[in-house]
Amino acid sequence: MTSSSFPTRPTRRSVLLGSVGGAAALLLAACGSSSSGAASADGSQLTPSTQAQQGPYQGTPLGRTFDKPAVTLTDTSGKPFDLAAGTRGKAMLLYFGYTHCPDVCPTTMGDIAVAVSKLPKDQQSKIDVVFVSTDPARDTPSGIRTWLAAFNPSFIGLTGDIQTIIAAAKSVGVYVAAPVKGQEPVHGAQTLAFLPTDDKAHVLYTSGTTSAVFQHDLPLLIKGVAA
Amino acid sequence: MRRRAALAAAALAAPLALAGCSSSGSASGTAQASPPRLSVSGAYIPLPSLPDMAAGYLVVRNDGGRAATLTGVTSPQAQSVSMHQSTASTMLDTPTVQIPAHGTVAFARGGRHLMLMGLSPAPKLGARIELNLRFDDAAPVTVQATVQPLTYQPGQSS
Repeated sequence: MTSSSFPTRPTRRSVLLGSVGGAAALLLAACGSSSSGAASADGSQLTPSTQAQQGPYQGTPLGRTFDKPAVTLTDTSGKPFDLAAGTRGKAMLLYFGYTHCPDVCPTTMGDIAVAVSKLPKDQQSKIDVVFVSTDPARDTPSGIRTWLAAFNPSFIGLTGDIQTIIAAAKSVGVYVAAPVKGQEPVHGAQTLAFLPTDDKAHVLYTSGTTSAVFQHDLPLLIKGVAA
Repeated sequence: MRRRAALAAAALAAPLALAGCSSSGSASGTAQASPPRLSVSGAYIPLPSLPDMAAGYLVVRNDGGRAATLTGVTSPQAQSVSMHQSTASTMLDTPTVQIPAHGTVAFARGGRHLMLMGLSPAPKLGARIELNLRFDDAAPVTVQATVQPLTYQPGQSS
C-alpha cells in the first residue's frame, strides 16, 4: 500500500542472471537504460536513437538468433499449445506480459495490432502474434481471450506454469520473474520477431516502439527478409 | 530563456521547500517567484480491454515561478487512482510528482501514467471521467478525461 511495497526495477545483476548469455545480457541492459531515459520525456526519441543500425529493419537486429521456445503452454481455449510447432513456418511476434497491466502491455499489443490491421488482408494471416502471460495465476485462458480480443481476435494467448514461462522467456533472452504478492508483476522489456524461413528470432523491439516501426517491418518479416 | 528559468528554479528549490512547509500563504519569503499556476490538458483514458482497470494520460503544466507537487489524483467514478512510472519491465508507484516552475510533466504511454481501478459505470467510448488532481502548494484542478479507443495515441491517427 505504500511505495515500499512496490518492487524496484530488476537490478543489473538480476537482469544478467536472468539472461542466457553475454549478447542477451547486453541487449537487456541497453533496453533498461534507454527506456528509462526516453520513456517519460518523449517516447518517439527512443526509436531512432536505438535503431540507427543500417539494414532493412527499423527494429533492432539481434546479435545472435534465438530458436522459438521449446515449450507447450495452454491456449485461450484451454488446450495445450506447442509454441514452436503451432507457429512453424510463419512469421511470429512474441511478447511476455500480463492483462492487469495498465500502460506498457496494452500499448505494446495495441501498437502491434494497429500495424497488423494495416497489412493487406492476405498478409494478416501470415503472421502470428503470441502473448504469453507473466501472471498466470490471475490470467485465465478466458481472461486472456477477452483481453486480446480487444486488440485482434486472432492473436494467440498462452498461459501455464510460471516457472515454465520464465524458462521459455529466458531461452530467448527475455527477463521474466514470478509475481510476488503485493508487487507489480513483470512484463518483458522487448518483443521478439521470428522469421518464417528459419523459425528463429532475428529482430527485437523495445517497449516504446511505435506502430509505424511495426508497420514498416511486418511485411519484411512475413517475406522472411534477413536482418 | 528556458535555461534562465530553470536556473532560477534550481536556485530557489531549497528555500521553497522550507517555505512550503511553514506557510501556505501567498507571501512566504520568496518574493520574486510567482506561485504555481497549474493547468491540465489532453486528458484521456484508453477504452480498457478488461473492465476492472484503466490507464489515464494527461499533461500538467505549471506557468508559475515555483514548482508544485502533485500529491494525488481521485475520481468520483473510480475506486482508486494511483500514479505510476513504467520502467523497462514493470512499473513503480510514484506517490508524488514534482511539476517544475515554468514546466510541464506528461503522463504519456510507456512512461508516467495513472492507474484507475474499479471504474463505475464501466467506461464507454466517448464517455467523460472526472479526475481531481491535488497539489501540496496549489489549488486542486479538476479535468474531464475522454474515453478514447484502446489504441489511441495523441497526435497520431489510427
